[in-house]
Amino acid sequence: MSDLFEQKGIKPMLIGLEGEAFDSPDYLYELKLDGERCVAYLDPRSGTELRNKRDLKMLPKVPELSEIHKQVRCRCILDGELAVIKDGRPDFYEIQRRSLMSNPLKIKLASQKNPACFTAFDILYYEDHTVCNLSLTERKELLQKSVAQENARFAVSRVIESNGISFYKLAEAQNLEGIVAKRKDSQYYFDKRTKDWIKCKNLKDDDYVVCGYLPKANGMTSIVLGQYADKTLKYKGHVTLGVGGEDFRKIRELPRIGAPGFAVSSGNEECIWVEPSLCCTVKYMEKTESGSLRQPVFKGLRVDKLPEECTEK
Amino acid sequence: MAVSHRGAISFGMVHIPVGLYTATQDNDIHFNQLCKEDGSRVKYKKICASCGKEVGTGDIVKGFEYEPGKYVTMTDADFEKAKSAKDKTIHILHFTDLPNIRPIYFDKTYHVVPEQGGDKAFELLRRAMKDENKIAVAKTVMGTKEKLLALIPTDAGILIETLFFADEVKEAPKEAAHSEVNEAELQMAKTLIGAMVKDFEPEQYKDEYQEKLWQIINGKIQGKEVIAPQEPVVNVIDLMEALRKSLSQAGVAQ
Repeated sequence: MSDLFEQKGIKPMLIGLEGEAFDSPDYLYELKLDGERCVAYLDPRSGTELRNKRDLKMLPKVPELSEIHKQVRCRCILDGELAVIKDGRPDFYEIQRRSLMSNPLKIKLASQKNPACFTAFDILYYEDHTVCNLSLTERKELLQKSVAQENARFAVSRVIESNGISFYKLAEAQNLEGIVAKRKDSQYYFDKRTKDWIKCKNLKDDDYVVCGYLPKANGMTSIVLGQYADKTLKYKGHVTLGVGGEDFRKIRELPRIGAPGFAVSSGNEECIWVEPSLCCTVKYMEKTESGSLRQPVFKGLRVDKLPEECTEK
Repeated sequence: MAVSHRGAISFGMVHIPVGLYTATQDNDIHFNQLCKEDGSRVKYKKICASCGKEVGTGDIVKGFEYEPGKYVTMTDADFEKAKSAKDKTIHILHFTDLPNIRPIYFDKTYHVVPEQGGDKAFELLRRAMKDENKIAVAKTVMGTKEKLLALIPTDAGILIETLFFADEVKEAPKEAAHSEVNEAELQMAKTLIGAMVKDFEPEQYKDEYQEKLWQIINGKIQGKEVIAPQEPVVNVIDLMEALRKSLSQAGVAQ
C-alpha cells in the first residue's frame, strides 16, 4: 500500500509567480487552460482514477473520461487540467458547474452536451516509480512516450519553445486565459508553490472567502469578500453577482451568523453574514495600493480550495 | 462534493481532524414551476396576510403559535440562549456492538474523511474498532443541533450514522394481535422463506418511475436539440495546434 499509485493523495505543484510574458530559451511555454486542476492515475489494464487538488474523486462528475486510461501505454500518473471546450475555448463556468453537480442524470446530460477533456501537461509516475526528480524536459519526453494516442477526451499539452511574448499575445488576442512559462531544468515537488512556473495572464484573479452578501436593486447582490492573514479573516472588498444563478443559491443556503470575524465598515449594516465556508474566484484588472480590487468580476465558486487557503498576498 | 461538517473525533487523548461528507443522495427529478403563458419561472413573494404589503427579510420575526391566533415572538437573543455550546468535536462516549442499535435509530449517513495530520490516528481507530468488531457511540453539534452518532468502521474507512434520540422514535400506533399459529403452516412459511433466500444486491433494484420520467424528459430534450453536436467543433487539441501553427508561421515570416 506504500506505492504512490495505489495510495493516491497527491497534492500537485502550484504556480508560484505571476508576471509579464517574456522570451527565454530556458523556459517552455504552454497554454493556460481555464479549467480545474486534476491528477490522473491511469493504468491501461485496470482503469482511470481522477482526483482534484484536494484529492477528491472527480470521475463521478466527468464519467465521459472513464476510458482515458486506454490512451496510455503504461501505468502512469499524469498532472493536467480538466476543461470543457465551448465555442472554441475552455469554458471555466461549464467545468465548475459540473464539479458542483450531483444528480447523475444531469451529469449524464451535461457530459453529452458539453463533454470535458483531460489535458496532460506533466508526468509524475511512470510504470512503477516516481519521476519527479527528472527535469521538466525529460518529463515532457516521458509524457510523450507514455501516451499511445490522443482523442477528444484526452490530450497532451502543446509546448512552445522560446517565443513567450508572441505566444502570450496570440492567446490574449483569442481571449484565452493566458500562458504558463516553466523552467526546463525544474523538478516536480508535491504540494509546493514553485517560482519555476510563472503564469502570464491578461486578467488577474485571486481566491476569496465568501463572508456575506448585501442585496442590491435589480436582481443583483454584492458579495463581501475576505482573506486570511495570520489565521484571522480580513475584509477584502465586494464583488457583484446576479441572484439568479446556482452560485448565489449555494451562498444563500450557507448558515447565517451574527457578525463576521472583522470590523464592519459603514454601508455594510444591512449585510447578511454567513459562515465563512465557501471560496470564490474573482477576476480583476489590478489591486490598488490599499489592496482593494479594480473592476472585480465574480468568476465562480471553487470547491477545490479550503477557506483557510485563501490568504492575503 | 462540499464538506457537510468539519470537526475532530476525540478519543482518549487523541484528536483526529475529520470532514464529514454525505454518503447518500436524492436522485429524484425535480421540476421548476413555470408560468403557463410564457414559460418564465414562478417566484415567491412574501406578503403580510393582514395589510397585503410585501415583507423583506428584515421585516420578519419568528413566532410560536401557542393557541389559535396567539403567538409569542422570539428574538435572536432568545435563540442564542438555547444554542448548545458550539462544540464541533465528535466526542466518543462508549463502544458497543453494531446489532445493539436497532435500524430504526439510523437517520443519515456520512463518509468520514481524515483531514491534514489525521491520517495515522484515523487508521488506528478504524483498525482497532474493526479488529474488536465494535462501533462507537458519540455526540457532536452540527450547525446548531446536537446530534447522537454511531461511528462504524468499514474496509475502506469510517461511516458516521446520525441517530435519532430515543424520544424521536415513535411506537407503532397499534400492536399486531399475536394469534396462535399452526406448526405445519409455520413450517411451510419457513420453507418458502428458505427457498427465497439470496444475497442483497442493491444494484438489482431501480426506481422505475424516475427512469420512465427521465426517458420522457430526455426524449423531449433530444427532440428540441436534433442537431446537438456530440463533440465541440473545435476541441482542445485543435485549439493548441492552431496556436502552435500560427506561431511557427509567424516565425517563418520573421
